[in-house]
Amino acid sequence: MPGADHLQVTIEAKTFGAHPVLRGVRFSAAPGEVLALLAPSGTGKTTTLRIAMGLDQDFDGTVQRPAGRLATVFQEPRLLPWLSVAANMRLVAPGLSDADIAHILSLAGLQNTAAGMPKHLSLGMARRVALARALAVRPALLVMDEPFASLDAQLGARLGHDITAYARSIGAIVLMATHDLDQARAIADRLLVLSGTSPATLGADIPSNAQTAAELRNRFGFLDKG
Amino acid sequence: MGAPPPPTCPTACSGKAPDLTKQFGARFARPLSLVALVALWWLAASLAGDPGRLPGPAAVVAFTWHALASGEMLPALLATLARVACAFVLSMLAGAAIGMLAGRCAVADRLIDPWLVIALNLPVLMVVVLVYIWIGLTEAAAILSVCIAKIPTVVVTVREGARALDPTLDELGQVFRIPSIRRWRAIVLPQMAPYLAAAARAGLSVTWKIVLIVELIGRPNGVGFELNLFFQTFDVAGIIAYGLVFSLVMLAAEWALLQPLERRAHAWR
Repeated sequence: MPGADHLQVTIEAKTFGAHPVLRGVRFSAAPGEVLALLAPSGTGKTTTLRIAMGLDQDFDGTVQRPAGRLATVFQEPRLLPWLSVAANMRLVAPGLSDADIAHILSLAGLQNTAAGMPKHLSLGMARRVALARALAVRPALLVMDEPFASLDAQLGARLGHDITAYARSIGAIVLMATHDLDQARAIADRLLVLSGTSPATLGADIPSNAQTAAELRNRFGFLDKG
Repeated sequence: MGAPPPPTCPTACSGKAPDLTKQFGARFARPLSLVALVALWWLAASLAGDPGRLPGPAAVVAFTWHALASGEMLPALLATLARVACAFVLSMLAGAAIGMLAGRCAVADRLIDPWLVIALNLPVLMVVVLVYIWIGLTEAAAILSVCIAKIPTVVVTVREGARALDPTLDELGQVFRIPSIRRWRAIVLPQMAPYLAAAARAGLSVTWKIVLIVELIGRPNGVGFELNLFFQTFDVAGIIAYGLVFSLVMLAAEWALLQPLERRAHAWR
């Protein structure tokens, strides 16, 4: 039985109207563990994350989240355009000093952006600010939906490594949806693979190095690209 | 088929002349328009030849100067200004609260909407007269009747703003467990600010006009009360003088208070 500091998600069934989306998706994670959720487009990755965060409560099942702060990086940055970058971060973590903000922004690969306004940031930079905002709360559970999607491959790989290393150092559980199998294998402890069936089920819950990328691509056709 | 011939407008379409015309228009069109209005008034008064019925601009200015210098006008202006301020603040507070509720809660919206449709279509004069009959010729009745007439327009504007609130930012507040007060201050109010500013700006002009009616019918002081006195003595210069001066006071209030607030509400864009 997982402890109170664990994440435990049990989705027996999730439907949108009459359309079944997920069935029998069950997984848990211990503090400091990084889980990568892989699935074909439109098969329930974001829905699984929303259920894990408590934003979607209309499903059959249960979710137990670890005590402590929850943080998320949505697919879109969701920065408040009327607040500066620093004020966006202080909105979720009011006690941050200027030095804290500069340090966390540097973890997300950003320098000298604290005073800037979101409208002056590129999409990639805005997403990194959203990452920094999530880290600013020192979360017990960090849920990220394609967090490195609009970044170039090299930067995405480096940030993936740095951010998961930081999350592990503070004992956060990371649940991250991604389409990038290679990055998932590089930074996650476990891979959760949703089947491409309708409704989607949990096709695999395996350590990230249990199978080679080629074996996984062979097993799950949708992972073919790249 | 040949191409249509180019338009021929040598002075208006090219060269420096149109720039000068534009600059002249931008700088002087408004003042010239006002001067034309005063000239038209002066001409009409001269043609009418009856200063008692239609006094010219000079007579009204002289009346205004005397009323201001002797201190006769100031108490009336202050009394009306106080009523406008009171009714405006109460209407904005109540209208904003009801509008937020209607915009955020579908059941409340369905309950409020029929009342709103009726309230928006009630004749203001009927509301004022009924409130005076039911409550009496009191200050509270005067303010209440202005509020009843004004609140529905605030509700409609604020409800639109509440409906347009971004639900994804709500989720942000929910996931990060941002406390309610901070969520309102940092997430909701900035989104509502343009709608509140629009409601305030439209509201002020409506409010003071209703306040004059309320004073004319049932208050013992204020600009509306003075207008009633001047009406009974057929003092047209007094009517125009008091009406114009109070209009200028309200324009000044809008320029000094509401326009800066509106600019601030839109600043981040």
